[in-house]
Amino acid sequence: MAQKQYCGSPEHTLDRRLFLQGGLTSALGISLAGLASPFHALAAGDLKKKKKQVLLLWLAGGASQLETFDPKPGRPTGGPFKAIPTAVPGIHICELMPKIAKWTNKMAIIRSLDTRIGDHGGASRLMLTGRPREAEIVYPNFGAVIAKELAERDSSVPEYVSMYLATEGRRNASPLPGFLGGRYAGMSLENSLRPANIDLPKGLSEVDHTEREHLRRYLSERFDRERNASKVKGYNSTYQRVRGLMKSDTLFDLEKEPQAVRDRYGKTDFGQHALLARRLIEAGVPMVKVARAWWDTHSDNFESHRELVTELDHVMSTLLEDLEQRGLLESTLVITLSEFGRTPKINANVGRDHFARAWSCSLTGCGIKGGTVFGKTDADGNTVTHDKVGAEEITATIYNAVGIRHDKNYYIGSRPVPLTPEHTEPIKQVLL
Amino acid sequence: MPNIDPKKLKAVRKYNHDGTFYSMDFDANTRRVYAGSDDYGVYVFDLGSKDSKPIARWNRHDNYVWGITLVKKPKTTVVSAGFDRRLIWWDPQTGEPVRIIEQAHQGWIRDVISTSDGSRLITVGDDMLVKVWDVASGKLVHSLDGHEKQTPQGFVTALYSVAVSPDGKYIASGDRIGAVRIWDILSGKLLQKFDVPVLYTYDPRQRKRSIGGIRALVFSPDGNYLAVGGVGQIGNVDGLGGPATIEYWDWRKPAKLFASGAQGQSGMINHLAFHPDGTWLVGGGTSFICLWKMDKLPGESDKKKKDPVPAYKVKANGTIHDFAISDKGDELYAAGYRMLEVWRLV
Repeated sequence: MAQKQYCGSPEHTLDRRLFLQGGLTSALGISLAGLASPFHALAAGDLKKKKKQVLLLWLAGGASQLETFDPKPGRPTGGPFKAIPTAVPGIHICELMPKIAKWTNKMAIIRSLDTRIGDHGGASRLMLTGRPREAEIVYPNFGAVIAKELAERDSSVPEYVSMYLATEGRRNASPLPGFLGGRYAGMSLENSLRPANIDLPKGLSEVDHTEREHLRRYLSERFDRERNASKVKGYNSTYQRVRGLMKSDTLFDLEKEPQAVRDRYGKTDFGQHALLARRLIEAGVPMVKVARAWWDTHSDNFESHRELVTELDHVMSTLLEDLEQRGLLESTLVITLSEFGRTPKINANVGRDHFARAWSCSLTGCGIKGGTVFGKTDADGNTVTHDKVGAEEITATIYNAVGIRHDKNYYIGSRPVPLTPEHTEPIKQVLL
Repeated sequence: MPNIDPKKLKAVRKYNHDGTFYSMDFDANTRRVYAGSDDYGVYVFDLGSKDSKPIARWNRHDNYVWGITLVKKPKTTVVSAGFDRRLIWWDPQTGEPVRIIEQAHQGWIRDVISTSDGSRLITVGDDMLVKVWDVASGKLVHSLDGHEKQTPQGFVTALYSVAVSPDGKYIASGDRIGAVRIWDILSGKLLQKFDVPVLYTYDPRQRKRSIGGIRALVFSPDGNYLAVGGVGQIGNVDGLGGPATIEYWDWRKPAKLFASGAQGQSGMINHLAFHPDGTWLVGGGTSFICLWKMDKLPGESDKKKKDPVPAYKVKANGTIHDFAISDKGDELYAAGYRMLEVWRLV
């Protein structure tokens, strides 16, 4: 039988069968908390009070720090873009981001990433898991950890949604759950913004479907009462999650948004994906990733960054404004992150190449001390001169910003596995 | 006028530079080259000197100097244009600016040229306007608005190239999405428009971004045709792996007469010029110089070939962003990545 998939990519599909398998992960020696059960959407007001959420803008391919958060105008490496002042006196960013410049009072800019890995695959895995690869353990993406930790009981929405509709670099950034198992695999939207396979089978009406569910539940509960079969409870919750997912179809339908709101985000794909991300955050999805590929500008770097950063500036600032107007920014951490930055040296084709020794990311909103710049690079941006950090510290900081202890242990069998490598410290200077 | 022998094309002198020259022009009377750099300087080289260092560096720009033109009449003046939006008139004798127009465009200035009679300057910028200036007074004569402000996909665009016909009557402008506009310089009227979409690649699936644009434009010596250059469709927009491409248009109809590669060369054509003998079209770009024999248009059967007219390509010592050909037609001066080079054409 052909496998039914939620996305078109066979290497990281999430289908109903995988969902059901996820209900069994506790029986496989992995301790999981927060298996969702009844599916009642929370009112938006309740969500605002209770939930912390994460929205990752994954700038796939490697955005240039020099054309975003660490400009070096006037230097041989600086390129043609100037730096502009921002809402916070003393903080300057690239002139391509005048709208984002208005949000630095809620933003921490980290300019001292030294992550060393300069190939797309390895660097993506590093930044998305927050730790170097190990042979013995397949670590989860931090998105899967956040989904697990921040998932609400009674939620009818997916816990981790990943949008990556370009194809380049997609496999590198799959929302993989690692040792957490399929239960925490992200829902990948790859070919369309609408999840696949959430429609009722042809010929099955909603009434029939509901009646079948009632019958299944009745039989399951009777079985549990008579046999005290605890696993049945897990099956029930998993079925309910699938049912909730099928009902969430309209959540993914941007036609439900007023045209004025769609226009506000802009006509580019990234703009519309960011709007969907806002809908998902508003509906209570704990972890949303929007990938904007592809920033690998080995040639014509400045022309490409004019295109890409101008878009990022508009989309991200619109997103931040929208979240704030809806009372969600305080509880939502918005991250911009790539797998690496780009070389200060400008090559013969007016390009910048891969560079992991001194680059930048940003954290905005929930748990973040706004108006902060952490770390420093030298005048030409070749090296980190102050407060060098790696993927571990970034991940620990993300966890702490949304109230997750970075030193918490998960267990594989009896083996404790901390969320971040031992002795990792978050960047306290950027945390509230 | 000596006959070009493409097989003898050879770089004979190199001037090293720490940065990149994006623009240049040549004064045959003084044998001086004026070159605009990414270090914000305008450099002056005396090609008659044995010294390989520039004789002057002019410092009034605050960003890349992307355009330079030599106004030859009534007296020699150098005009430079930059990403700082400034248009600067320079006295070549003193190296002092004689006029500075701030905010000449609301965006980077991408090109500047002058009419052969020295009366008009034409600039193009990222405000997507073509501007005509009176050289003597510095006054704006026309601001021509006819290019789209966004790409079809909703991204920012750019107006890269401008050319003026040898008789000074017509202007051609070319943008990122491959749109060409022809203007009457006297009235400012839009006379013609056509598209060269092959020079703009938007990858809607794999990388979701674009590359390309019309980077080079030149009228034929009789003003009837327009050569348009850039890079053809690219599979991987991370690089410049598409074919260096020109199209030759009868702009009045408008009708494409033929398209050509550069003998299989990949990369961008950054500049096009006709050799003074009128029979050779010369292009320079991603580490190459190419010459196309244009003394007669290709027949119908030849149009289908990759090189419908005879073409000769040589490898250059780095990416060429701009070049000029001596009035005698015996030398070519190329400016680009970390260098200025003199090439013998005969």
